[in-house]
Amino acid sequence: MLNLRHVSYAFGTYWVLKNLSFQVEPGGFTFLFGPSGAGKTTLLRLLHGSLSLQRGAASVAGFDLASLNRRMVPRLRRTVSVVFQEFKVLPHKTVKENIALPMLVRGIPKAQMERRTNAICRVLRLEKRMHLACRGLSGGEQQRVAIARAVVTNPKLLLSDEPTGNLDEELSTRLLEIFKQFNQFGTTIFLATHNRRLIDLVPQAKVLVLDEGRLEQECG
Amino acid sequence: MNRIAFLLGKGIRDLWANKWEQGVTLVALTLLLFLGLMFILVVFNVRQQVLSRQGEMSFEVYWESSASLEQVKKQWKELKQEDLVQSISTYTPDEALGSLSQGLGNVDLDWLKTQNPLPPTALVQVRLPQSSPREAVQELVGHIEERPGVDEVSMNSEHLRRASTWTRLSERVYYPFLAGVIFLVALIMGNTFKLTLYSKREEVEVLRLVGAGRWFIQLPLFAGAVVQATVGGGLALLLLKIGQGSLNEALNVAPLWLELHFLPLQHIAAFFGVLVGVAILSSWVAIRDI
Repeated sequence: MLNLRHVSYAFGTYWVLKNLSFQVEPGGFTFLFGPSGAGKTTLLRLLHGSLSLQRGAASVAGFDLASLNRRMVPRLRRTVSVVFQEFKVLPHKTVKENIALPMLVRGIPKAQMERRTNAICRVLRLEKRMHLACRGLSGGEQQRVAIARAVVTNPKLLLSDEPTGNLDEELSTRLLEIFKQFNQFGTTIFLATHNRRLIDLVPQAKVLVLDEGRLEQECG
Repeated sequence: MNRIAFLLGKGIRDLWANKWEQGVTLVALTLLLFLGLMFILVVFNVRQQVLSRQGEMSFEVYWESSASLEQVKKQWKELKQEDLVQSISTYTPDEALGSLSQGLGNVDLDWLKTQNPLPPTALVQVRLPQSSPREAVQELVGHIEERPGVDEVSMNSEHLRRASTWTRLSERVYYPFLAGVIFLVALIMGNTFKLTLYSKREEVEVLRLVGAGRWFIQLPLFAGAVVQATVGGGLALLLLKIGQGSLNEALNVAPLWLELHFLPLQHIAAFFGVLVGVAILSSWVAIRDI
């Protein structure tokens, strides 16, 4: 699903990622662990097509990042979903509208869109909030909306950047259970975190330890 | 096709969804277009004044004394139908004699009636066309000279030169001015759309994040821009009509007697055509990097 070979990335003369090489198998659950400033967000942005590959070779869900042009980026993003720490939901739109957004982009018929939105809202316990504008939701609810939006199209790969960063311990645990559930349905999960406790909650997961842009350790 | 219609509809629905931002944009656009149109209206009227005072000339046509009066009168009727001819004053030999007598202070010229030396005459007033005015008048004069019975066409070539110079000058000033106003409007409209986009940057970012292509993001923005420009243009025209009416009432009194004409229908149609084009172009410039 993910295959990186000697990937490096610099902002100006400062190298944020240094010679990264690793693989992630389809259906796996992987943690990208490291302190703040280790390069986790930069790596996720690279994998999601927000940044262009500068050095090395990388393929994401069958897309070769080295030859990825501007037109191909939307296609990559329709295959690979992402959840950010700061949610990035549209506050003036309802929960339902936010979740339906990726399906709207893909031109999925309305009836099917409705069915899938209802189903995902049930799984994530959002059905009572469906018609509320996101600005009125708590942080945990907004995070669940962001996850629902990311998984509603059954992506092959789900990238997540510090998804529990704004949440308390209990909500973080519950959220991780949701990720595990989707992983069991076949979605590959690649989750960046600096919270070691989360890693302990998924003992079978692969862990990549990133520090100052270097891959220090790979286990699992 | 359905998808395009959906995206265009989405653009219009989005206008309503962000009604406050879009309302402010609409007001800004309306005022901008009103100011632009006001400039055009003023320059249009100045040009009309220049053309009506300087863009006309007259010449006399004399027929042979032996020409049949019936045939001459028929030619006068035909002359009135000519495109360039604004008005025509005609004189039969008797009327010409009467006019001469009046001009000389009511001198008794009745003794000349039996052997009247004055020919049938017409004083033709022409409005010069904007393109090739000199050539058009010379062509008209040529046609008149070819008519049977016409003896001479008396034209002051200095007057023709002066009138055609004014016509050309007004042409050279008016259209570059129009182009300048349109350019300025396009520039400011582009910036206005860019500012509107600023309020949508969050939505655009999320759309890109979930895999929206350029068209999915840009087409609704285009539709919104065109609708806003059209509505803004309509409102601006309405304001202009009200403004023109009030100004006309204020200016068309003694001692000014300045009549302020509204823009002709062709100008309005062209204005809307250009406006929609400019809206598409300027919104494209504003959003092309999305």
